[in-house]
Amino acid sequence: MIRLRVEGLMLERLLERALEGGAVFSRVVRDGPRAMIFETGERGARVLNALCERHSLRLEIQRVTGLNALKRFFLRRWTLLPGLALCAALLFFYTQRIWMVDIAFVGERTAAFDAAAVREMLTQMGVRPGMAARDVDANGIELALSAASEDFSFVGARVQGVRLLVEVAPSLEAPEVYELETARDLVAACDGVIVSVNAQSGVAAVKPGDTVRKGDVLIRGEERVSAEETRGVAALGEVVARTWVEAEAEAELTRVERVYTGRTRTDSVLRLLDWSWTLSPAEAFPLCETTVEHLPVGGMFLPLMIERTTYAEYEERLVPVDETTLKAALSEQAFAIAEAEIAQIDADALQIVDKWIDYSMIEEGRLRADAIVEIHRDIATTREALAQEG
Amino acid sequence: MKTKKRPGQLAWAPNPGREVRVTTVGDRRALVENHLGVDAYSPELVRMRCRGGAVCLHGRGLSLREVRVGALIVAGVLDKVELDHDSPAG
Repeated sequence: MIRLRVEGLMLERLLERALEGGAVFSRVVRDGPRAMIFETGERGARVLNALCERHSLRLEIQRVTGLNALKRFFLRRWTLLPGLALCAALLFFYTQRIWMVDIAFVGERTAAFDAAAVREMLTQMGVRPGMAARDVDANGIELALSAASEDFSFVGARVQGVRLLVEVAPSLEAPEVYELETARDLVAACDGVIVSVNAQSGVAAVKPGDTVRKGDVLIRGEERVSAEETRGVAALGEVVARTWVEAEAEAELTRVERVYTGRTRTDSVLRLLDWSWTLSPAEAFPLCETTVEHLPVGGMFLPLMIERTTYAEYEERLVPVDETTLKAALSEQAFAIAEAEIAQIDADALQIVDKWIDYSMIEEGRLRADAIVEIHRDIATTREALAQEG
Repeated sequence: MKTKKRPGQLAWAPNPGREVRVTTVGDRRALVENHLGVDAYSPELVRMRCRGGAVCLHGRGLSLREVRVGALIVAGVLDKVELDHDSPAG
């Protein structure tokens, strides 16, 4: 539908001529004594336009809707459809290829190799971004990667749109083999007070309540063969002991506070790249805060600017810190250090049973916090493991 | 093929002489068939030539709908339909 507004006299005659010319109007409304609004189709608009031109009447297109509007829209933007077709073709072409190759490591164990190594292997197999998706043989990649390295316990490859996802799981560490015939003792991994002893193989050398030092034998690797004779075996068992982890943190009881005197000096320099010319020189204070401002003069195309440096003098003063707040901060810090140490302990059964903190004043106005965490853990280890730990 | 029924093709009553026919639907719409052209149109009056005279529709807010050769619909508030006869001398 096209809505046209025509101004002029004897518009009824114009309507009649338009009808004779084959126009059809869905609506005609009088819009003032010398104007009329016509709603018609494309053909009617063409006829009316020709008549108005012939009789020098003013015609104004007020609104175009429906298929006519669509037609006009596409005629005005004739490049739109070819553009959309081109986009669709490019999109189709784009989605037919692999543009991303992602490597994901799965599993709990840390990989002994990195993504670059896996990517290098894939490149050697001819898998690279830009290749056709139909040429990607996921099963072939899985087999080839599994065969390429013994470090992989699982390899999965799948195409997700334009992405090739290769999931790699590092191989699992072989469990420790218990060799019964190899005689060994279990010794204490650290100092502690024994809580319980569970000797599965060998003879317990300590009992609950004993105090042991690092390296003391806890379970002796021997078993009785007869009344007089014993033989060596690999000791096995669990010895839980009370042990303590200590951590300390220190802080000053005073802090330095800046007190501004209110005196300021300003230094201005006109600068153009490496060239500079001092406008107003000023000397910095022995103790001052320096603020540099760049004021552009030449704008974007000429890097001419005024560099203004402001020196604000201050004095340093020692002020006491709130002791309660400081103690809380030190306590948090010391326990965090202790917990980090506990997290590094490689023990199967570990339980925190108590923790406390002591504060002490040390020299030069400093406060120290000693955090102690008591834990129950299995301290039985082999001499070899103890030697490796150092 | 389905053809759209046009106002001029309404054939519920024979009209072989193609005399002007005015069909009103309440006081809101009037179908005028077999007229010979619109002489005057304003929101208060629509006057059309017809054989032997003219037909005038008086009302308020009148507008023309479905305007085709020989037929149209007058919409608005219709007050009066008037038939003017040409004088025998004319």
